Amino acid sequence: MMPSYLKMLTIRLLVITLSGISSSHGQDIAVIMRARSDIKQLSAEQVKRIFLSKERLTVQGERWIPVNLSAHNVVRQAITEQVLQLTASELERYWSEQYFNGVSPPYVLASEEAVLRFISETPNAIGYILSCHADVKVKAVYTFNDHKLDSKLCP
Amino acid sequence: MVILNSYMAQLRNICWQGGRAVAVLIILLLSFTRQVQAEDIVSPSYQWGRGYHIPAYHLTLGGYTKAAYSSFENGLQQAGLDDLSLFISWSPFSRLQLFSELELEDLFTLNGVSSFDNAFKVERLYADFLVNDEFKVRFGKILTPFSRWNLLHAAPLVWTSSRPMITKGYVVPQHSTGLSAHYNGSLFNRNFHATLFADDSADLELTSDEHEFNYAFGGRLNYQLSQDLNIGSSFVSAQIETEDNADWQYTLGIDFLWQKNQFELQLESFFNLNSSPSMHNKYGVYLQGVAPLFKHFFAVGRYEYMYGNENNDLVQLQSVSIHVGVVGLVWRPAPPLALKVEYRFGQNNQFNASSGVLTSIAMFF
Repeated sequence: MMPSYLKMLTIRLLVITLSGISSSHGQDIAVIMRARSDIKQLSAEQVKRIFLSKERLTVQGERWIPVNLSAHNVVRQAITEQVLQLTASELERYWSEQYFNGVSPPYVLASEEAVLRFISETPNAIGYILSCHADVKVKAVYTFNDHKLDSKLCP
Repeated sequence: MVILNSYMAQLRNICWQGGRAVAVLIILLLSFTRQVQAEDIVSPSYQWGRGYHIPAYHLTLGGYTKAAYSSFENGLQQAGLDDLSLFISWSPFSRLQLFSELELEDLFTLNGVSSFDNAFKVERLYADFLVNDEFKVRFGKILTPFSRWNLLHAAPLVWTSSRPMITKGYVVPQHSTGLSAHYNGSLFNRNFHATLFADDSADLELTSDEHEFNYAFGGRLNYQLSQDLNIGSSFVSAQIETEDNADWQYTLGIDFLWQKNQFELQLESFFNLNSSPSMHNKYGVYLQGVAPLFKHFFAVGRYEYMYGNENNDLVQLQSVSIHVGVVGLVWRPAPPLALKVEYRFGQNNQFNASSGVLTSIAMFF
């Protein structure tokens, strides 16, 4: 029989360990489309190509409508680093070259709420938010984890 | 012949006027017939360096400008508004994109204000039809897909105020008018881009440039060899009218671009073979390096070599080996803005790239 003080110590260690794992876990980010979309899942490469306007047409030949959060948003920064695999300066350079060739970057919406509303109302629109902020009007077609994001971003 | 030329000029004018009327008609039709889309909730917006964007119409208006001052060792001084370019990009349908770049070149100089007709140029005017995400067909006036510099020559994008000699367009004209096919996909999991083009500037060109194709065909391949390294090759076979005759020329180019952690190394080379025995073959190369110094400041250096001469009359009599060096400093305080100062020097370079100090400020708006 384990002494009670040892039992308490074990429980405390377990809690500390689990909370440590939880804080290093970061946040899940969801790439979302409206819930009625036929698309179930996209690969990281597809998401990258859509957000760089390299893939501009859906399977049905309609145009993709990607939307971004503002450049200072931490979720946008996570997408840029992990999915687009570019630094902020590389991305600026990329869009300057595209601009010279008549290709515009995705629209920028002010908040995750605005992204949710736009995605839920627009066919072929695609955006990203923290997974914990998703609702029933949208569905995740690709998710990834950013361990650097603060766990307090989600309630 | 004179009557034929006059007839062709009239025909081009009619086509130009007709094209404008059709464009206006299409815009009006779309304005009245398009249904309200969910994208309408995204309001039009302006972003510095990305233009004014109207999401509901998939329309973007923007451009760039460059002002420059140069002082050459032969005593010549030049200052003025070198470029004022306006982009109009419109995608009325998912598979169709129209793009134009209209330019006022050297509108204001130390010599005064140039006339609008002299300054106005149609840099690019084309329609893209997207067959799918990897393949598109383009019709109209484009930047000749020869070499890396020519395709991304906008002043805010490049690292020096001056163009390398071999990209100035007297060997391979900078513009092409006709049909081109573009493949943009992957090969062995790396980006691969191929372009084929056929030019008929003799019949299709709306505004004449100083040096242009009569007819041409060619292509360009670009392959991403690694995450940091792209290699490319271009080929052009062209009939170019000179003062005496219209010779066929064959030009091959090879280039690479390496970029990592804001360091950059770029090389372009060409070899030009002329069918006329009276004309010398020409060849050249440049190697340019860029290194970040401290926040937003970059050092740039370039060595250029060319055998040939810019002046076509002199080419026949006096082709020479030209060496040019460029050392400079670039400040990019914000992504759309670049301020440059450079010193250029060389040997036998008086006709093609005079020695002196060149400065410029360039900005996307």
